[in-house]
Amino acid sequence: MFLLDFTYISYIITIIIFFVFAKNNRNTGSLIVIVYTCYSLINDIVIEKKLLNSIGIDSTFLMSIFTIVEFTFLFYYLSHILANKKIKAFLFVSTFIFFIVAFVNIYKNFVQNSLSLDTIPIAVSSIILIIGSIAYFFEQIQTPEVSFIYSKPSFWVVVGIMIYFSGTFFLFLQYENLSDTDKKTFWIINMFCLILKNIFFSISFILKPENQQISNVDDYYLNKLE
Amino acid sequence: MLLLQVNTSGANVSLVLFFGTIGMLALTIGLIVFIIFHQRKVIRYQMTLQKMEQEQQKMLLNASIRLQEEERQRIAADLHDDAGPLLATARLYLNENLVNLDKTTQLQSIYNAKQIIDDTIQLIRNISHSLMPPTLKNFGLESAVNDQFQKISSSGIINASCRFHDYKERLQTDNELIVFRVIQELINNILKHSNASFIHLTQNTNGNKFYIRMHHDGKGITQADFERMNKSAAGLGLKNIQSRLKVLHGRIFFEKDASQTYYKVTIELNREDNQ
Repeated sequence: MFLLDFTYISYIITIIIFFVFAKNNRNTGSLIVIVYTCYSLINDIVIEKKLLNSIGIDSTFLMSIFTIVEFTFLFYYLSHILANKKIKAFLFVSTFIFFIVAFVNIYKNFVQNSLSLDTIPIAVSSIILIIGSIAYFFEQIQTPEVSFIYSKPSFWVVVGIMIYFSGTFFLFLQYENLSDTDKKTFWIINMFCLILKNIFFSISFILKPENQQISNVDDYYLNKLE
Repeated sequence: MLLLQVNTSGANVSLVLFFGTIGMLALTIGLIVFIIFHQRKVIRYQMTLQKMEQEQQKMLLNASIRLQEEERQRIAADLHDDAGPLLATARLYLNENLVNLDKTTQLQSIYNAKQIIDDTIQLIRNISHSLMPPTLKNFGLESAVNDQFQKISSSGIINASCRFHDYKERLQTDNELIVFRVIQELINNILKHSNASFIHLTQNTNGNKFYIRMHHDGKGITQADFERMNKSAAGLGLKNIQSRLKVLHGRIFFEKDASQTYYKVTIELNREDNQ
């Protein structure tokens, strides 16, 4: 329970940091991340408190919708920061596959009136987003830039995405095979990864956007000297 | 992985989940750490390169300043040691006492003064020509180089010849002067250090490239020697060549002929940049 509270606190801190450093965050990338964070927080609260059960909306359905919305936000973010057209094209094709899988899964759940977690769409979305994140790092290595990679907000967002999805990949994949006790035990992984993700997002909000940074190593060291 | 999902028992599922998560996180963290350290390494390498380039630039600048100073000292010495005494002597012939002398002595003095003034004019012309060869200014690089080679050849010490194959379109005047100075510096080095019995210069073009090649049979240098000397404090003339060619975005290559008999120097320029 303590970890769950801590997860909510981490969400709130991330949102507060966004507004405190609002000057640094007037860009599309940061806006996508904050909208996604707010949506995740609201979704988690609604599911945990079962707020919509009274009007007949099940939490499993909300989770299926969340998977699609989450993927859409993060896919849009990755395609926004990636420059390589081939990688972008690959991501678009993968997205198409993801949406087919996700909607088939919702339809199947609806037809079978099943209440199982959408493990397959989550696994597909995780794989696509992890590949997108690796492609981002690959692109950063390829481009001969003089600014340090960890001085970029996009780097921390991608680190957050990667840590969260690689950390929870096996959890969601095996979730339906776990016993109820194990589900509770292993859900800690999800909360732990969420906290880490929020910390990395917070770091990205604190940093100045890429176009306002020192673009030259000489200037960087000169500024350090001053 | 999906097969695992179907076939594993409860305990195995927990194991797969535990080790799978640990493995994925370890891989992710490993990748991130690798990216960070790799990028730091690349930046450090770039900085070292930048620093080396700055040092090279500084050396070239120093060489160019020193050469300029040497040139000024040479002109000052020429004017002070040659033109100064000549004009002073002319002034002696034309002193105030001249009016009191007899007519024959007066005429002799005026004649001597005229001779000295003519010598001074010639001296100043020579200095002026060494600063800016009139042939180069009026007739272009080809004529100036031909002129220079004829002078060297007529000295009888060395056999010098040159041939321009494709020089219908002249380079810009300023750039011709720079190329001419580079050729002069190279000839000077060959005459001073190589003990060559001949120098042969050819000019060619290939597409957008403009080439000047010089062959000689003396003791020359290779590209490695050139680069080494460029980085050291020695080789002022070579640094000067390098800095002049940098202005033209040109390159120079020193090599030994395949037959190991001749040394070859090639100057390469972009025609579009310099015409």
